[in-house]
Amino acid sequence: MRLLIIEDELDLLRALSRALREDGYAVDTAEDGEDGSYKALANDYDAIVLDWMLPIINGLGVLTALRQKKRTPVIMLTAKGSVNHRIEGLKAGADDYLAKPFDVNELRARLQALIRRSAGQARDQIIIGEVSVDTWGKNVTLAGSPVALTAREYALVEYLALRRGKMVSRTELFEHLFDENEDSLSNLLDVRVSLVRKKLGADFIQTKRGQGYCIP
Amino acid sequence: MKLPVLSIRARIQLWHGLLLVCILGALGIAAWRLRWQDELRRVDREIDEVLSQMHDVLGSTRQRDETRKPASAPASFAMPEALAGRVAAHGGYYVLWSRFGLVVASSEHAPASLAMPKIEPGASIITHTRGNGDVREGYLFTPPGECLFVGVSISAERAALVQFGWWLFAFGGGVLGIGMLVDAWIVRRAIQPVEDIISAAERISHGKLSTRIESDTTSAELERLTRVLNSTFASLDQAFTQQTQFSADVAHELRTPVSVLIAESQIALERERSGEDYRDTIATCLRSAQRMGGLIESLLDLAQIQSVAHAQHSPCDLAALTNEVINSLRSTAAAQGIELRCTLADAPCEGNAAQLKQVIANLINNAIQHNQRAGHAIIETSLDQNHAMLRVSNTGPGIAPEDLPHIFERFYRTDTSRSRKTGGAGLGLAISKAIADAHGASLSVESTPGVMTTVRCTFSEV
Repeated sequence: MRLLIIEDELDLLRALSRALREDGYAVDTAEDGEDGSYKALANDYDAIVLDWMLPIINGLGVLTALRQKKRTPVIMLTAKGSVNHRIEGLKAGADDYLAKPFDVNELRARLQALIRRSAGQARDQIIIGEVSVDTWGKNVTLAGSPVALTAREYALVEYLALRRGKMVSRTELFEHLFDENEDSLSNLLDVRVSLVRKKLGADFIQTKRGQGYCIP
Repeated sequence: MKLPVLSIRARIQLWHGLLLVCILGALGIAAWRLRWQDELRRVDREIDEVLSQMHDVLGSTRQRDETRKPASAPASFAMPEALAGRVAAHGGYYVLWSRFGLVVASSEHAPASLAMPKIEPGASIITHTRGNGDVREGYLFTPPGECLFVGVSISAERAALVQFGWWLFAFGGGVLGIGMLVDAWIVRRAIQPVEDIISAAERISHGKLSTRIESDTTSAELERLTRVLNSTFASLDQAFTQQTQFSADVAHELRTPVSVLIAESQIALERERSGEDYRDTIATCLRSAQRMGGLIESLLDLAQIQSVAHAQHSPCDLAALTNEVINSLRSTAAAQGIELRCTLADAPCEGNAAQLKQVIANLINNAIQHNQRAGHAIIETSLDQNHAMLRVSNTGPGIAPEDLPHIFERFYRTDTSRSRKTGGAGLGLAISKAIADAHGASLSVESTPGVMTTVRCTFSEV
């Protein structure tokens, strides 16, 4: 899952991106509205965390510009917490609204719910044969016993599991599992796929040469 | 003694009632007395007439007896029928004494106890009221010394007077009643604006601060009171709104550093981390706490300047103060690559040196922080027609026209300049404005975006 955080408070930006990266997200960051707007339009993010008061272009401006082209889930995270501001933000196209100061775990939960919904899933638990993926606890069990996956391995499983039965191209996987600072030409993805196959079974992820990967 | 609490209306009515009772009482008594005196005069006139007619009759009797010794008393006196009837009609009586005190003639009803009055020289007719006031008597001494005496009953007059008294009482009561009704109406009308004021004040005390007194009173005092109260309410309302806005602003400003504190600590505590990570977290928390501390300092400054309008003012020179500030900011400017161009001419003014330096430092700091890379700031002091003046210009991106009117408001940041890297708490200009106001100085900004932004501080004449 790849996220974009647009926030001008650098300390907060750093803390949030670190926490979300630890959760297995690929995180891009932007410190002002202009940069944020550019990135949001250029990439397909799974969700965007957006501050309201931003330099150059404010959050509403970013949201308005984004909504003309994309339906990326957006959660607004702002000090403007009054009911009227919430309504204004939601009307402008935000999918959720969280007022500062906030609880990091609440932000995580809301992000998770947004991503799950936008992938068309209503439940936290995805069961594929003997494998069960818990998107809430971010863990995977094989025949009832937990499997130790790294955060990045888990992200790959979750991404494919949420799109079960669909062929997902390598480009799409690169777009959603690696952030802007990682080199997409490397063979990191192949390494990760083979590691997951070792842990969850060789047939768990199928490869169609030239098309991509799929969990049947 | 504490008087019971009465409404103004009741009090005014009470006093008006008392006053009316006194006036009516005095008038009634006067009317009553006049009537009584009038009655007495009428009776006295009757007595006079009877006496003088008796005197005439006595005179003619004396002429007939001319042959007798002139000094002797009349042997007889025949009261004419008509005159006797007239006296009797009044329930009266008559007596004639000789000059030796012998009764020459008297009517049947004359009281037996009646004695001849003493001669009072010089007086002709004397009247007086006797007994229990039921009888009015008059007497007359003839030149030879006889005494003519007439008494008339006045009980009918007295009865009429008592009736008149009752009539006066009833009339007075009626006038009093009507008077009080009219008075109640007048007082009610006069007090109405006060009632309006009370109900407006009550609404305000219940928290509806936007309430104003709407009164179309025509009395000057109440009109003034209404005006004064309305302006008081307005300033209360404004102060309250400002206070509310201020609290909201403070809460809003604290949100961001608090968010950082909470997020940082929460994330750090989630799992075991390296020493460096902890150091980073603590450093971030410290920065946030320091920012909150700075915000609190600035707010206290602002509150103090606004509440204590007159700090100690003494003559000082704007040029010298500016020079001091520039010296302390030179390294900051150099670090940002900003060139400071100064033209400092003597500019004497009255003020608090520490506060003025704060204004100067704020303005120059803004000129440095909001400047473009490798830009310059122009700092000038001068004396223009006895007004000391400070001008600080910078070559930064400038301020949009729609932001200009708000630039001195607390926590106002133009959206484009609002970056944590350059922006402070958003209180610098508000503090500068408060200090300028306390010094009777004016602070103005003009900006041509992208070219030049100038803040001008003009002091009043020294």
